Amino acid sequence: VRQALLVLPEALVALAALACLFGRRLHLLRSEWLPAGAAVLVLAALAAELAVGGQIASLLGGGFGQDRFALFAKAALLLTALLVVVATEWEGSGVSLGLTLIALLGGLVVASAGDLVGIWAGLQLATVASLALLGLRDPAAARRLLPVAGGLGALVAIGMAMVAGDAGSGQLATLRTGLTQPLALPLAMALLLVVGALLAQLAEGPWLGPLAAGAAGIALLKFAGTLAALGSAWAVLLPALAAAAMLVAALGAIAGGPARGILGWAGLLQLGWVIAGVAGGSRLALGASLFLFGAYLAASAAGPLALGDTPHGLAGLAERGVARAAGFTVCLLSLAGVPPLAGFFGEFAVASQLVRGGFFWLVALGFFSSAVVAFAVLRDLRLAYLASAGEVVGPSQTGWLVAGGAASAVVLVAYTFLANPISGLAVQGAAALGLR
Amino acid sequence: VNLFLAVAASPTASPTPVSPFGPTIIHFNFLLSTLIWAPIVVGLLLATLPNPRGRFDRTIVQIAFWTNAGLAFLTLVAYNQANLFSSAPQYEENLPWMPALGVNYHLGVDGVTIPLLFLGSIVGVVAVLASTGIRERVREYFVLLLLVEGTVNGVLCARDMFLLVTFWGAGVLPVALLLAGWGGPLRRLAAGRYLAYGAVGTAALAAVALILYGTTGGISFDFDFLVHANLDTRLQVLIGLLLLVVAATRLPLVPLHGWARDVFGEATPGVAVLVAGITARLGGYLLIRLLVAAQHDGATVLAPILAFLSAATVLYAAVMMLRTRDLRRFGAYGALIPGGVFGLGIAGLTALGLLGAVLQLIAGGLAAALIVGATATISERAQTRDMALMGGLASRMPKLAWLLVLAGLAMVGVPGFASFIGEAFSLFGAFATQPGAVFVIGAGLALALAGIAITFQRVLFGPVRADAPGASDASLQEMWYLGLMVGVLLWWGIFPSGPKLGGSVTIFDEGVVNVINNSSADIMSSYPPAPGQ
Repeated sequence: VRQALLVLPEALVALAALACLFGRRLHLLRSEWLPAGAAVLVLAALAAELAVGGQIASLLGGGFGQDRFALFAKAALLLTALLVVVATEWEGSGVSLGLTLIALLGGLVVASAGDLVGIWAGLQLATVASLALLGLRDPAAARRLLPVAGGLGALVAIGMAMVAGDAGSGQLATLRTGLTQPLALPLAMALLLVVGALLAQLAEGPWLGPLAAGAAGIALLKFAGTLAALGSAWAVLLPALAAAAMLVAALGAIAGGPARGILGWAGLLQLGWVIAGVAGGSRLALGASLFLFGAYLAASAAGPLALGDTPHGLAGLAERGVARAAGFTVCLLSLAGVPPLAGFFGEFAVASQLVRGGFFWLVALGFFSSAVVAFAVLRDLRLAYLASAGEVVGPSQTGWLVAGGAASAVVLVAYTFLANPISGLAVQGAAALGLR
Repeated sequence: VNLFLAVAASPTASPTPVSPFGPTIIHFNFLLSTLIWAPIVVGLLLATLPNPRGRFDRTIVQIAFWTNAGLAFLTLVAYNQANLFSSAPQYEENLPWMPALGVNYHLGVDGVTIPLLFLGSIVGVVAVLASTGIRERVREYFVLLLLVEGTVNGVLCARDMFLLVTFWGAGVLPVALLLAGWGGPLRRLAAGRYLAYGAVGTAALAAVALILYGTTGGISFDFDFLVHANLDTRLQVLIGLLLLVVAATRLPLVPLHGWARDVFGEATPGVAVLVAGITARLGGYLLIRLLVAAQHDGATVLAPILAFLSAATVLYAAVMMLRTRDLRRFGAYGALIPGGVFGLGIAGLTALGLLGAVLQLIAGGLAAALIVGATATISERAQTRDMALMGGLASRMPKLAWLLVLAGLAMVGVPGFASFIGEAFSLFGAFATQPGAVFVIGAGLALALAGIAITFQRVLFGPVRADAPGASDASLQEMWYLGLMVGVLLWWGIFPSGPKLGGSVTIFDEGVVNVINNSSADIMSSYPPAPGQ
């Protein structure tokens, strides 16, 4: 029974998703109950994960594996989803909320997948749900993204199949020992790049980016962590990927753009640090990456929600709503790696492990990019707090935006102060992937 | 020399301690955490306070003032209860934070830090008093001010490199926002420059932390572990060079002084006082804590470079004081001088030099804050910063004229001010090892004095220009904030070893020299004695 309880979080999320998708159509639930009910169920799933997720077990013939990595990843996803559910003003039908929860379910599947099939299935579930959700709000954007996501998904499937064929099994445990041929490494890298591209593409999406990105990021960390000890190909390509992400983020941030663009660029910078941590190749480095990824997920989810729509740009944001501005600021500073928030802690922890691994140039590049992004952040914060709106603009914050701003600020500050148990769990999660 | 010794008294603590008023009256185990987090928490609470149309602006100012006053009281207690006979960390707090990565929430202060904490709290009170004239976005201003104060205390109290870098970096953005949002027409340029130099400094400090962590096995970020690591000389020099960059961006020292003119020249008096008084001093503190106390070989190799930079800074400041026709920039250049003299004291690598450097860090901070505060206030009151339009201000604003004269005298270290003792100890302490720099700095100080005399003659005592804008004298708050700094400088200048009843029984204040001495002597005990000592 205790082992069966391990799938309770997934069951609760699935139940919530089904209730949102079909509850109103079947006249079982009133639409105004759906967000609150979904929030309660996601919270219950998070509590269940924290309560029973500490055990190590394998179910469904190895397809479902519960370890400290899964515990960390699932907890981070559930927390992010809770923020999204609480801080979003949902439309009445419940379909959007249901699709959000389906995307979350995909992420949970990836987190506890014991083989490549599970990772791919979870990734696809999250991607399809995200696309459908995007289609509800912006059909044209969804149409544009559909072939990209479909192609990337197919490439991921082919790459995984080749890796599994080379190793003789799709089980992650087998990959660590069975993947020996040199051919497998470039293939694995191609796969990694594809997942990274998917991650970046979805992170830029206007709606539900964080949960889909969370699923892709967890797939990336899990796969890369599993194969990290394999060889020198990683030592070249992963740092290059990280460096590219950091540089692009710095250039994009300094170039400016729409109000919420800075959140995306700062987030990309942080993803660069996450990948750099994977390049470190050690248990502590991947642990630092995981810790940082958790902070990234929370901040990248909550930032746009706290900001809301900004038809007047960032100018005078603080005048229009303190909670909004505070939530946006905390998320932005964390994404940009500005002390003393969780993002800085994670980036510094990654940097310390990179130094131990001899990646001094990557640390220097990371600091440089962080400094450039900090300039852009100052520019936008000056607008938000010190510039006038220019015209008489009424307070544009709703109850949901206030909740979103306050909740995101609280979660990120709590993540910072609870760095001890969180980073400890992240390091255990990295150890669960077989890293020393 | 006899007169000097009579004034300065003995820097050595009495072997038979007599408890001053204060010890054991107040005791709690999280004093340092309170000093760090109280202003931050109050600031964040203020940030969430509804303030429609600025209705609670006055309340916000009062809350900021009383928060700072409370902090000043707590630091006074810490100063008063400091153990004079130990160089070990006091008021220590140590909790594991991220043990897997070797990060601890480790706080502690010693004789070098405690007076700096006290200085920070005084400057905090002064900054609030100097900012009572703020009318726009009052809440945001004071929130940022409180955040800066919390991070300053964090830097001073941190005994873990991770914490140190965190607080160091966290302090840059609020100051940059304070500069960007309030002040003169070039405030955005000033903010950008400050942020640029701050980012360089933070990156260099982070690099130091990571190098120390990486080369000591990646076990811990704790000072107690890192500073006892046996590093080879080349690595120490590299770390020392990075630390010089960090310190030079803050103190500032030539050639990384580019932000100072604009920041001190454009910021509001409150922000200028805060930056000159304490945040800039953190660069010097870092040199003591991480270079002189930890990298002995590196410090020895780099001492001549530091002496050269210090001499260049003082000389540059003095020449620019003579050249400038802008009163605020005059004050800004003057504020560079204490940093230069401090650097010389450090470069001497003698116990007397270090004692002088720490004293200069404190007194020089107050003197720098005083000169930038006085020039900023006078510029506001005279409605111009152009010296050509000033003249005869002594008759039109006598109180401010007196305060400006006192500020100038304090800055160059005239006897009676605490800065005199700091300068004298620094110059005497460095003479044996860096005689050339001592002469250059002496010449620079003489030049600065000439600049002060010429400027004061022009601004205060010259004829009143017919086209000069109207001028008014200092308000009560301005008198208080400038007077408070003058008072502290005079108190420590006249009683560096504390006032004594009957010549032996210390009352109220054990003396700033005695608080510092044991810790500074302990730091220098690892160095060979200087020639002739």
